[in-house]
Amino acid sequence: MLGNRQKGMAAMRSECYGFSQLRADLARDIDVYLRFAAEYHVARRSWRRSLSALCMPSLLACVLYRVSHWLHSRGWCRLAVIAARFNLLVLRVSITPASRIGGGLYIPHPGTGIVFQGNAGRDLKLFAGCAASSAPFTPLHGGVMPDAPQFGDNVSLGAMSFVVGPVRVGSNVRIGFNASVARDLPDNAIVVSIQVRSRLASGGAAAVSALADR
Amino acid sequence: MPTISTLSCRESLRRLGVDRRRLLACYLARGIVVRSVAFSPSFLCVALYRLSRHLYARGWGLAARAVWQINMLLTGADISPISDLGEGLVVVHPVAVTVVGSAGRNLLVEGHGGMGGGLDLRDIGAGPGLPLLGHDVQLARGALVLGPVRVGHGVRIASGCTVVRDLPDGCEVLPHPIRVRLGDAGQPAEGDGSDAQ
Repeated sequence: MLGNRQKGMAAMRSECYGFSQLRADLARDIDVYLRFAAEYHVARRSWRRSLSALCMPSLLACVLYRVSHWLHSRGWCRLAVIAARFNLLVLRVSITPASRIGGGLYIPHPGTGIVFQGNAGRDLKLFAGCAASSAPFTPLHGGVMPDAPQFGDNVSLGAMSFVVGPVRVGSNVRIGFNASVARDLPDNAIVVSIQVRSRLASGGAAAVSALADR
Repeated sequence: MPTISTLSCRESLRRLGVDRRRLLACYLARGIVVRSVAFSPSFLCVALYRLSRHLYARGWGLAARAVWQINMLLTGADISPISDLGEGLVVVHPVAVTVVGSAGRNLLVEGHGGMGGGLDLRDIGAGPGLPLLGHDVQLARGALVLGPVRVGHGVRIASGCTVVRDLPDGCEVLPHPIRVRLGDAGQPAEGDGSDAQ
């Protein structure tokens, strides 16, 4: 609906995202979700469990994103934007339909407001309230900007962590809570935000500095 | 900033028009061509806020509250009708935005933050415990202004920062430094979040 005439959109659309790819990605999403769920609740894997997992909000958000991306790659941009808006309305997850995310997307707490604009490899984890967007102050539109962040495989964005601008993030990167990243990150990096300014009631200074050094 | 009694129908529409032009300018600055912003959630949340503010200023509190809650439901932005925001308001990504307080012209809120009251209930002109912002303030992603504080004109607050004290005109709040540790065979590198303004 917005920005369909943007340059480079045609090239992005021509890359085929077929139905079989959609199914494979969703199967991996369900697999990752069930693997995380098994940490808390042991249950036998069966097709009924896989199907019932699709009713969970974290997987509904994945399904709606995958469907909107599929529609977008078919060239049905308006339907794609409607699916993405439905995702925003119901689950508070706003992922631009043009952004490419590999299988194994895991969004544990979708209700907290998640913004994603960019491309990522497999096994992306978006924790509560994280955001990845192209250059600052770019409103939502149909296409992925060329200056959107690019993520490798197996990246996790911690709670309330923000990635802004045209940065390249390598594989196996863990971005900690409340970190705002605006630069490239190599493979296997761990990002920690340094913002310890809290006052503890008594004798907490040592503990606080220990926390900062960790 | 005009007070409640002078908020006429024409003034509300004029402010909304300025908001719309400013949002379009945000798109154009990035080279994105849009046909219309009418269905953009950024515009929808500002339009619903203007409507609820207008109803509130007219004394129709119940209707204002209904529109405010519809705004929260549709776009996820919690922009209270008691907050008086000047023309040129742009909310870039309305999910998880909370705005309660007063601001001058051209407030720019990127998302995941906003402003609101703390535990201190002093009134500095925006309401009990609410912040008062000047013109041309930019709140980057995750920036918060909390409590009865005055923020001057042209202040830019970087992403992830929380402001709980007064700020003079034209100053800039820098982002928190981040520490990057490399997993395999690498020296830890210090760095900051660079200019994420």
